[in-house]
Amino acid sequence: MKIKSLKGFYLFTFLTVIMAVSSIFMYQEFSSIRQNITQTYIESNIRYVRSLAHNIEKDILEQTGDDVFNTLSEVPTIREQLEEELHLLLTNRYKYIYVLDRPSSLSYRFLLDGSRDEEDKSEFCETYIPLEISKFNQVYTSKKPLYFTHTKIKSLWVTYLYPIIQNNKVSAIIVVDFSMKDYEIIRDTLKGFDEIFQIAIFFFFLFFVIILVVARIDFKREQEKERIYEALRLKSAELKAETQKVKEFNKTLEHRVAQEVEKNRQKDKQMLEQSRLAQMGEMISMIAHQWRQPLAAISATSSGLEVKAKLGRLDNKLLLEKVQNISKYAQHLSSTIDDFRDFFKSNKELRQTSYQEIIQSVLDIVSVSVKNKNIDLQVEYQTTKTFQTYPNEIKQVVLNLIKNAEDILLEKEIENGYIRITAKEENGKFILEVSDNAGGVPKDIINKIFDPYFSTKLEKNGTGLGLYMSKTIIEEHCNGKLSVHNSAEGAVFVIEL
Amino acid sequence: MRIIALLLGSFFLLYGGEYELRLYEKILPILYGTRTLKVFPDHTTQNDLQKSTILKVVPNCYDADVLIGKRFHNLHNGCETKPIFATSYKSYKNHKTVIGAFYWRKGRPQISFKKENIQKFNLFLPDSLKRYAQ
Repeated sequence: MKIKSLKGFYLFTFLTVIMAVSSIFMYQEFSSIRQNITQTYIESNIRYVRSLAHNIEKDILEQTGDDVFNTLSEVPTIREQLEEELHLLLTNRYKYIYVLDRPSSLSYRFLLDGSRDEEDKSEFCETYIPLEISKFNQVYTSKKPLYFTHTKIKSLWVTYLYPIIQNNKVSAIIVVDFSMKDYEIIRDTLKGFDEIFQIAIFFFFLFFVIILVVARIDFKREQEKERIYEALRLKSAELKAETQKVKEFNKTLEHRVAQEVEKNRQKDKQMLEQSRLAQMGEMISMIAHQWRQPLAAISATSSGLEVKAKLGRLDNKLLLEKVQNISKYAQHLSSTIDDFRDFFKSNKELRQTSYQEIIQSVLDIVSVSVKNKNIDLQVEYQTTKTFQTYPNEIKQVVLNLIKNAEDILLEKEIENGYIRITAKEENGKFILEVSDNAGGVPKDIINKIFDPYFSTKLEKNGTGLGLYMSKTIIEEHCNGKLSVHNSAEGAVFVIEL
Repeated sequence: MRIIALLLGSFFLLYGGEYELRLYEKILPILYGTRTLKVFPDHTTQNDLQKSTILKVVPNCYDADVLIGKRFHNLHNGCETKPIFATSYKSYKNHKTVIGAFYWRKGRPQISFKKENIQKFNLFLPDSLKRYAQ
């Protein structure tokens, strides 16, 4: 939390506490003053009523002498005179003034009544049982005046009971019912102040509690803010460092990209070279197959000539015929070399060609080798249409697919093995399928066979680049598609151009 | 005594102007030992008594168990002997067949029973009310 807001908060809380405590002290002081005011007011009223009652007592005793009851009972004129005097004292402030005595402890009776109301005027000796009879009895017992307010009957105000004492005994009680309206006004006003104080104190404390709660929430929030700020600061520092790293990295990025591109190019080149070397190895094998027959024929012809010459049976005609044969065989060998040289010629020229031309060119090279291994080579042309492509590139791919089929047929020692080459046109696309009956590509590797360096030819030291390069040639150089799926008998490689 | 004082005070606070009726409903069935009573009012009590479910107002005083009011002059047809529950001190003092009274004096409620007539009409005065008997 910031020091400034913390100081402000403490000051505010301190002021609230001071105000709350001050209010309590003020309230206590006010309560004391209120008590004094009401007490003083009541006492001054009571003193006045007491002096009034005392005068009435003096008057009664003066006129009745020692025996109040008997005098009043026997001399009605004295009773009427005293009642007249009591009546004169009645005002709005003094509602009822009457005199009672107690014939028994259970009831009282009227001796004098200042009222002139016909309905309310009591008779002499009329039985009267006041609601607060215990107060009346208390006056008889204590011989001291007392007053009380009425809680049970609201129409009555305050009743003052004053004993008339004769011979140390209470002979009667003067009852004065008087109004405390002024007192009630003052009391109500003071009560109003009292309530205002109580409400103020309540609100001060409520305010204080709210401040404490808010402060607590605010304190937690500040702590949380501080924690988040610290975390953000750390993150910011980390981000700054990372940004610096990225900036530095960006500076070298171009150079690194160029380096990586060059690396990839070299890698591709290396892979291509590897692939070519592998293919050339196979080519040498195929040349050997192609040459075996003419070489054998040359060897047989030359051997025949040698035998004939040793036997002296060599004539010019035969020699010429045999030499012509040898020359024909040598030309065949030369033709074979030309075929292979053309095949590997790096001619990336886009030209019009057909699958028939491509396949025939490939078959010229591989057919002897394949047939020597008792593999049936089937070719089906459903289309002979020409199209634009790179023929030499396609030839290499077809050759690779045929050699792969040948390898797997030999590896699995399939009887009646065949390689079927089908050229067709579907939906405007030129399709070449190379299929075999070697059982197909296992499902677990069918998605990997076009990956570089993936090979199943462990025994034959396969490079794992043949299919990868084939796919690269078809899809990147020729904008076609090379895919594989299994038929009922074996694998089907499909070239779409 | 204290109980009755509380009773009177409570009636006054609770029911205001109708508390006299509640008092009649409370006391008279006890005196007569019945749950309901047939009463004959005068003009001062007629309105209040009409509201009672315990005290049934009858049009003919002869049919009533008790007469309730302060002015019953010229009673005849046997009604003059009916018990009266007075509602003023004067009627309590003046009628011969009064069994009790309830009235106001100096702003305080007063209740009284006439012992002689209570016995005469074979009514039952419980102990709690005996101190009001004269």
